Amino acid sequence: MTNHDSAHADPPGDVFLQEEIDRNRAGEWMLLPQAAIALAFVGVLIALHQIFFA
Amino acid sequence: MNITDAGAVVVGVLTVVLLIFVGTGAIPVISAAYSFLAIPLHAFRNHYAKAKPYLPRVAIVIPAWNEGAVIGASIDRLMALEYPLDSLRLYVVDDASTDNTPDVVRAKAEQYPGNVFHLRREKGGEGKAHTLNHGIRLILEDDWMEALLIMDADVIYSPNSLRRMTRHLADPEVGAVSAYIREGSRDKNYLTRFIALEYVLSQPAARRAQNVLGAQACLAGGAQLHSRENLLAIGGRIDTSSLAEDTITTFETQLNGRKVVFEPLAVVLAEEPGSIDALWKQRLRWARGNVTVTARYRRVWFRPSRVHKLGSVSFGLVWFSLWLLPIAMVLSSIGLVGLLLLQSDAATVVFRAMWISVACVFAFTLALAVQLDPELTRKTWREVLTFPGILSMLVMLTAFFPGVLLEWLPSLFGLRLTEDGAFGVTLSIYVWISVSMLGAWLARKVEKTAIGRVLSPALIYLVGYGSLLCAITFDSYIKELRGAEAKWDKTEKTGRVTA
Repeated sequence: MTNHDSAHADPPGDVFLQEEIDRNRAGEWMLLPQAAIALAFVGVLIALHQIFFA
Repeated sequence: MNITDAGAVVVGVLTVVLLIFVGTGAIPVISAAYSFLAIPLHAFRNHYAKAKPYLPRVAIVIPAWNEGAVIGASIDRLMALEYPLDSLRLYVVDDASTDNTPDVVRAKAEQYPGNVFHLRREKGGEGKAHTLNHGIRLILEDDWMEALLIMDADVIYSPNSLRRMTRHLADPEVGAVSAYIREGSRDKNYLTRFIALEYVLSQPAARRAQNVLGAQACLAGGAQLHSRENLLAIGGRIDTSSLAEDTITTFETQLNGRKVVFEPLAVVLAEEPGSIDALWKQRLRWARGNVTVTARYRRVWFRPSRVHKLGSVSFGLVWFSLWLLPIAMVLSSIGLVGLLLLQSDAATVVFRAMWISVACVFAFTLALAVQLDPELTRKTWREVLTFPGILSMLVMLTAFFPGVLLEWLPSLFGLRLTEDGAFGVTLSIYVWISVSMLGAWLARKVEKTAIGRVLSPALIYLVGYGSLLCAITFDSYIKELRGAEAKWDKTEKTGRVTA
């Protein structure tokens, strides 16, 4: 290991890194409700169009 | 066949041709919808299952030309990455700088012995790819390097970003990994806020979709990590024959059968152009590079392969939709105006169908983008609300809610549009998509004048940031047709980026 003055921080160990990968992988499931909200927003626009302007 | 019948046939044929013209405008809409609807599938189709804790020996190569103002801080921050120092080496390739870059880098090399190296090119100005190759050639002379990170001198890597990129290289099928380049200027103006939003749409959004589709269009120039094997497989050097070296590197990686992965959680902050002129030069370089890429890989498009997904129909559609978007816009306008002049009922129907589709795609993508990077989009709320352009939004409003603009609004003031007036407004709406590019061009022209400070931002908010990008792509067609010299033109950086 090279030693010198810096704000260097070694990475956490393999257990933490694997947990982080698992956490990040699980976090991608949030894309589903996020996309659902975005689709719902589009749905509201289409509903307004259908109700008032079709 | 009498004259009346012949006239009807001509009108019929012309109507079909004009409908096809309008239809070309629908292709980018379908492509964008397809891409963005693929984003949530990243929940199922991502590379995390094959990622593992993996910290290879990484050589970082930084091309630097007159980066004295930023390079010292960049080196300090890289030395503070959460990464083992004995697995990290920084090679700053000084491209014949005339400022204090060599002094700063030499001082850092003394401060971080064994980690920071100063490589000097006495003959500079040949472009980034040449500068990178100078460093890569030396790095490959021994077998210390297991992975190579290519970056820009002024970008800021978040402390966990490198280890979040290297974990994907644990899978030998992965050749390269890209990070999320996030606009990071501390003194954002309207343009950098638009760019920030564009980057949310094009990276954590669109590149997630490309992960799902299995083909990446381009590794970020400021954050691309290659395995040694991949670097050697693509020739051990960066392409120097075009202005699109990043895209060519990305394509070559995939054509050699290795995957390119986008890691949305490895965040890298970058300074982006704060003026239309600087943005125009940067994007013109990219757009002209894409012309080269399109021609060079002409045998790849729409030819599915077992080795890579670059030949898939979906990827081809995404690529050509972006590249040919200005042409699609112009053809679409011609089609609509032609149908209007032929007094065809189809004009209103196709206009509304197309613009309602555009409005839905914009609404979906922006609503999703706001959630993908809520912190950044909170700072860019004005640009989120006006991203398509205020006038384009009025056109969408006309399509979505007919009568609001042409009947209800004038009636509030006791007015009623005459037939000629309604025709004029309709004509303006139909040609708007093409005219908006002229508005963007005008914004650049007046930018440096006394009124430009106010008028240029106003024009961009009115015509839309997308129209600005389309105008630049259109300019690239003109430059290519004229055979204008394609030269490396470095984007000026001032050290405005902040962590």
